[in-house]
Amino acid sequence: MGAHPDRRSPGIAGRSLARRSAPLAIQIKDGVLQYPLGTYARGSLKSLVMSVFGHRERTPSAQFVSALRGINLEIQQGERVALIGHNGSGKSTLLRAMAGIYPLASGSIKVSGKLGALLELGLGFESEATGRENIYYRGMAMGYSKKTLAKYEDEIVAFCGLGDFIDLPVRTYSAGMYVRLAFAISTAFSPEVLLVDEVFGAGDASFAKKAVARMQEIVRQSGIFVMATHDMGLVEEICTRAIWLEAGRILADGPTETVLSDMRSRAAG
Amino acid sequence: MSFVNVQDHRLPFFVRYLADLIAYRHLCFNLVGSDLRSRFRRTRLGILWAVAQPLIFALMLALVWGNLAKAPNYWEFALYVFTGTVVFEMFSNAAIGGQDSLTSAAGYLKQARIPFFVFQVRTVLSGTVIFFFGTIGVFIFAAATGTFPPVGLHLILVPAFFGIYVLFLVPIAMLMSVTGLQYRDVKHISGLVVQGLFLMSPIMMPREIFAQLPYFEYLNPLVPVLDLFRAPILHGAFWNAQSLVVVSVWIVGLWTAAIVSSVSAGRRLVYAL
Repeated sequence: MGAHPDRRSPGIAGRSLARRSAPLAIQIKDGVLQYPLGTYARGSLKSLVMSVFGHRERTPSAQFVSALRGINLEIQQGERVALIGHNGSGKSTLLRAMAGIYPLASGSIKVSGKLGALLELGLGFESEATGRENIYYRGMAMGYSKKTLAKYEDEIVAFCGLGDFIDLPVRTYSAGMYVRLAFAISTAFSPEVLLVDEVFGAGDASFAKKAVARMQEIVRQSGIFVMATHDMGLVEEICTRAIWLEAGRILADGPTETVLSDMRSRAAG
Repeated sequence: MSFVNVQDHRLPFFVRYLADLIAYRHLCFNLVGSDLRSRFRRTRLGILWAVAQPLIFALMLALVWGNLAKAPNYWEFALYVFTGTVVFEMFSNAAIGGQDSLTSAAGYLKQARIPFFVFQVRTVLSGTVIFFFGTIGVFIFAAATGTFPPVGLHLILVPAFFGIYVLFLVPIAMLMSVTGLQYRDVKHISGLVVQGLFLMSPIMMPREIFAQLPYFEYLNPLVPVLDLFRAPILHGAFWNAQSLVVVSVWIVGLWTAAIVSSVSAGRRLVYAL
């Protein structure tokens, strides 16, 4: 395995962290996020047409579930933050809001720094395209140019270890091969602000070991690291701060040991 | 209610949006390539299907409708239908394909904050490449059947038509993708409208019929659009000013509607993907 491309130079996306004029930061003020229930719609066409004839019975407006409720937090440069909590507590939603993918219903999010997110590894593949072609599509979706990706192509192919399968359409891949390729592409670059959703230990046992080593390397390179996970061992190993979420609210926020200890006490009691 | 990436927030919104589009141009163009490869992959004729399909369709239609309309020359009428078919195919691709442009890009839109426009314009650009090959087919067919008009400056208008047609279709793809996600009924209605437009446009119907319905030329934008495409190819003529004005008004109207609906829906559409 060759040296990781970003490790050959301290620059990240053409810019060194040391040379930044403003510090990296994430600020969320009164963040509220509401998921629409069922189809996102503004009412049916039927109700629209009937309203022309004076029909006043309106289709009930879309129902929402509050996924984040009044989130206030600030993450500074150098912090390694874990988002923890039960399924449905809002961890992944908060990550997506930080990445600017999910819009807030109210409140604001400010991110200072070049963002990179590893959210759902299986998403964003063109099934008829080959693995090699998908390196480019996925890399371009991360905002990298064809020229930049061409430089990293060989390294990505070597890391995922798919051999000749790399030139076959990805629809022929098994789930594990999918994950290997997605992980290799997504982790070929180190952004300034890295958001990760449960992608450590991807693939089979041999690949998982390699994947964890690479993730730890990327974490060291990034200016801010935020991870949503259920793996408390990993949280203790990597993160300096933990944010415990429940029902879209922050239940506790502080040093990893303190928050994990609170969480364990509650689980025990 | 906002998301701000501070590193570029000093720039006005429009400039930031444009910068985003430029940054994702590689993705857009490569996805267009991917669309074309997957459409013609493992076919014997490959991209030649972009010519063969509308040509065979036009030859069959011309056989039936040429007799019904008592067209004096089969090959001239076949060329007329062929030009109509390639133009309509691109329209249909933008209107029907546009609806799924965001849904099919869900994998990308749930991974990163990529402008929706990248995927909306992708649909139209894929259609444009097919239209380009169809147009080449039209010229070859015209030359082979002796129906080619006199060569002259008017042929410059053919590439100019591509620009105008893309400007006309991009807002249609935007509107279809935005309304299609908000109102699931749109899929059913649009199928009917596109089929209706095929029958109510001068594709296989002789153009003269539409001259008897003056308002129809304004209400159905495909009538002046087809006039603009056919004028230099079929008649060796420059564009008619009236057709150009009508199409321009439609373009302004469609862009206004597309921008208003896109801004009003915002990124909330991602929840529907």
